[in-house]
Amino acid sequence: MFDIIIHMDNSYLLDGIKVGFHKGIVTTLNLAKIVVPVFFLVTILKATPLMYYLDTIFSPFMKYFGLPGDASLVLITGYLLNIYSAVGVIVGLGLNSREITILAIMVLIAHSLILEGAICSRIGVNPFFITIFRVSTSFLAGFLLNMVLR
Amino acid sequence: MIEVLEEAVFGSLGTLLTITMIVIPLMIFIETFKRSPFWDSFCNSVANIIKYLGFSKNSAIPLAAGSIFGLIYGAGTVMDEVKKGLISTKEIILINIFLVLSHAMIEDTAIFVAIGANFVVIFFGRIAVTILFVLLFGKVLDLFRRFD
Repeated sequence: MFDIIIHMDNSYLLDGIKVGFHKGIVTTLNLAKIVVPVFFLVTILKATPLMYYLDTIFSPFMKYFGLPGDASLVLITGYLLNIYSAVGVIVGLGLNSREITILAIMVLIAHSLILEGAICSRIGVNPFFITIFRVSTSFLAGFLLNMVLR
Repeated sequence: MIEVLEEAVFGSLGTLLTITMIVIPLMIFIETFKRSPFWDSFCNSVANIIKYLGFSKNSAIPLAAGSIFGLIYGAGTVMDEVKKGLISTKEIILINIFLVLSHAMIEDTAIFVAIGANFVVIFFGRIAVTILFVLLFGKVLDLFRRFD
């Protein structure tokens, strides 16, 4: 009798560990599939003039966030694609801890805008409004963090 | 060129290893938490906190689920509650504002911490921005309601 109660009480533990381990592996694999190619691409891109042009075009804008111009690639991939590709670009660019923190909060606030906009419209909220709102909030957070963060 | 590729291989593998070491234990924690008796008490304490942001008790499950498990999961629970007819339009918009700014708070934050971001800044900074905009939009939506 007691055995059954104890067993029932803890059955969620085994379940949680099993499902959690599986989800952890799946997440890591999904991440690897994106981070590794993006990392390669960025590492190669760094050796080409393309990165130089990107840097010079965007640095007047990115300096408001205390970021180098080539970090705009992180925002573009994060906004349009997803967090994983932004992570790949961040690692590939070899930024410092302060720049990573600012980019992290900007990308965490606004990412996968197309996909998540579609999800929002299913709940009944205007996806264009949500997208503009998220991007401007992301800029605001990056701007404020650049002023506050030492 | 070989040096560049070497850097890419070791750099990406190192990063992935760090992320794996963090993501797998976290996923185990999240999935166990979801199934445990603590989940209900967590939702209850969320219900107590969110009333200060202008949410009713019915928003507790969507907000708790969305902020921990992600936007898709949160949106699913929102639709469940909408079908029951328990959530007002204003509250749906506020839940959406909250969840687009703060979702998958554990997993996504951990991935950025793994590559070198400051945990305190990105976790609490995001929560602060979320609370600010939820309060702001709550006020704005009340204002619009007054005119119709």
